Amino acid sequence: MSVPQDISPMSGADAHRAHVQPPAREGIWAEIFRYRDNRVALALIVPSLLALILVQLYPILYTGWLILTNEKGVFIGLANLTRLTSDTIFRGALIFSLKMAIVVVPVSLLLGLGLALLIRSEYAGRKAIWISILIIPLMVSEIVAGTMWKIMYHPTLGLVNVPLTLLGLEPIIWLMKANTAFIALCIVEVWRISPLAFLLLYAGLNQVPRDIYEAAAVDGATRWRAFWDMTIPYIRPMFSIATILLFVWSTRTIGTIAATTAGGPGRATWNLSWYIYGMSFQRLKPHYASAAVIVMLLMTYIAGAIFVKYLWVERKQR
Amino acid sequence: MRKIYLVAIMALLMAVMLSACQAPPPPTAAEAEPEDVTISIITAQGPLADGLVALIPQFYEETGIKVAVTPFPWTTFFEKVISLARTRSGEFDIIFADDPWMPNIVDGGLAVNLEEAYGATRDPDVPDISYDVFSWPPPYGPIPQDFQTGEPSQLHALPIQGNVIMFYVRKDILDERGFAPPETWDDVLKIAEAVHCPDCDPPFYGYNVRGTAGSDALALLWSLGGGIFDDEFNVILDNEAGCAALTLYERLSKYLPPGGNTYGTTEMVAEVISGRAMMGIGWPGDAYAAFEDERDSDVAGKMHYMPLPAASPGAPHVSMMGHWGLVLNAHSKNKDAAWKYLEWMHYNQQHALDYAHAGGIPFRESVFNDPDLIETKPWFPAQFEALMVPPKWRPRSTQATGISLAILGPAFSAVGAGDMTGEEACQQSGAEIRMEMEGVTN
Repeated sequence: MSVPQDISPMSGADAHRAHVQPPAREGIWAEIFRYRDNRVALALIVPSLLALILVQLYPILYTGWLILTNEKGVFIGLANLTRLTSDTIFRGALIFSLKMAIVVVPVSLLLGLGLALLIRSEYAGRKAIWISILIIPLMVSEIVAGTMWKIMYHPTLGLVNVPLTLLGLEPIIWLMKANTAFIALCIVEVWRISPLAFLLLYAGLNQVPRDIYEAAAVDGATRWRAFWDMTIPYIRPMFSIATILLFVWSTRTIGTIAATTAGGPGRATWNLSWYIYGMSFQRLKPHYASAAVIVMLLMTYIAGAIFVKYLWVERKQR
Repeated sequence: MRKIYLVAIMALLMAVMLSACQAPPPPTAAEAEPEDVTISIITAQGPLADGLVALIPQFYEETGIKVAVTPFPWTTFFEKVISLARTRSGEFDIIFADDPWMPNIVDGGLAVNLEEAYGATRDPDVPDISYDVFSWPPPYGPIPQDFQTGEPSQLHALPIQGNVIMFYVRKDILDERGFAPPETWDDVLKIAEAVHCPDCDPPFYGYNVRGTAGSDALALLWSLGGGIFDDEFNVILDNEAGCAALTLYERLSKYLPPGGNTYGTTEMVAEVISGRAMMGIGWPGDAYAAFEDERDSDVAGKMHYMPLPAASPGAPHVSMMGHWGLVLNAHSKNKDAAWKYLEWMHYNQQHALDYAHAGGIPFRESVFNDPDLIETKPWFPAQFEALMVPPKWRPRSTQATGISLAILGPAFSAVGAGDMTGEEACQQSGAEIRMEMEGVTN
């Protein structure tokens, strides 16, 4: 019986080996084009890929051009980037972004993990209902969330101060001073993004086979031991993805700040996004703002690389 | 054969994608007929848009020209105007613009010279300053280098909303406590101190503010005789009058509601209509209609409106302008139809009156003083009075909006929070504005 040309001439084992052992460099394209399925897949993804490259590449190249020129279009080399180093407002915004991420990301991860464990446990009852309720903050836009929290933080009319006044304590004027405004913003952000951590970690937990816990129980492992040695390694990749996404979300937030503090008091709650927005659309210096955009991208990239290295790759080494 | 098949699939997909990105076809000859023209107007949401929308059917009936109004969220409207200028977009035939944006609009090539192109003239029923603010190059005041062209100053927009920032105060409490309306800022301080009672039930606050608004800081600055630039465009914010304005605010901030330094318009209005605030600065278009709305306000009929208090007895009550005007977009494909709309809205007294009845702020003397309107909008005569002082306009620089939002606003907020003294805020803001203007010639 002749083998049709469009069907792989290799056995299943051969094909598996071909995937495991990458072909020689010069043969990659030949290898891809050898199989009909690959060719069809390539034909289907190429248009989207081209569109994606165009859509992504153009803004990146344009941003690069903006950085190297001033508002009058004159080439100025790296002057925009070097100017950032002495810009105290930029430095303040950068520090604020990092401070906020340092607080918001771990708290949201812990909260998300706790909720995921709770919903996965036998105590949760109708899980679908709980999940639907818990992810509501994800569906609320930043501006709406910020406005809602601003009302809740109102010193006399807001709900947040009710427990304090019931306890006979002085109400806190949350948004008036820099320290309390920072805490207030962190609370809003945790409320807003911890459901994302919950969803991702819940999905990760659902991939842990239940029988390993039964085996561990037979071996006499405590719940804590089983959680630490079995659950955590399983969800570690999802944990690292959640960490990266939460970091990105918390550092790029702008609507929440616009609706709650408008960057105040003074400039105490300016983060990088707010700085870039103001520099670009209020102070009309898009070229200089682009330099800050690159710094923000680099910051996200470096943080992402660190998270992947220490959270994800480490699992392979174990 | 398979290769041809694959190439055909890819070509088809690319064609579909590219056709989706294609610009719409140009209007055909039939579409360009005047009776089928639709002019598009971009404006801010709220009373500005309401007034325009209310008059669309009448305009269509009289001219056969359709009008599509696109109300834009106020917070991002300036960005949109800047984007239109940067992209030289003809997306909107008319831009209903705030007067401080005129430098950005003219510098961005968005505005048609209405005198040159259509012979626009000044109507005697409209105060001169309402035309001056929309004339270009600026007829007087500090003018940046690029705008000192020596060309005659001509109209580049027609005023439709003659807004001026004003001062409001609780008349009933003034009467109850035996005070006259404040003539000077010293009077304001005295009244605020006398009535401020944060521990009362309900609390009552001596002064109210939009604590993050650079425009409120600017209004204080003008009313005390300060400014941002002198006639040579040197920064003078940190001179004696400028620092006096921010120091005055430092003193007034003792009488603010808690957290007042973070208030926007909504919170400022809420304090007034719930009867918890004595007085403050406010834009009539934003706030005063809410104050006088009997359905929601506890203070309807209890307010006194006036131009801003003066720096000293006998000094002028200088307020700040916030006019809105119709700009004919230089990139519009329907310029003639758009001009018809501008003419129809601006030069007809009845249309201006209808616009004010629909929620807009007048720009004609006859409309400001219309007895029917004054019954529901009791601040109109005082607003006209403020307009005749005359008020100041914001600097004719492309950087003016940024200075207000990103430099003065944060400084104002920091003073309100007690994080900075007025003196520190004015020195810091002065230095920041100097840096901001380094190398800027427009």
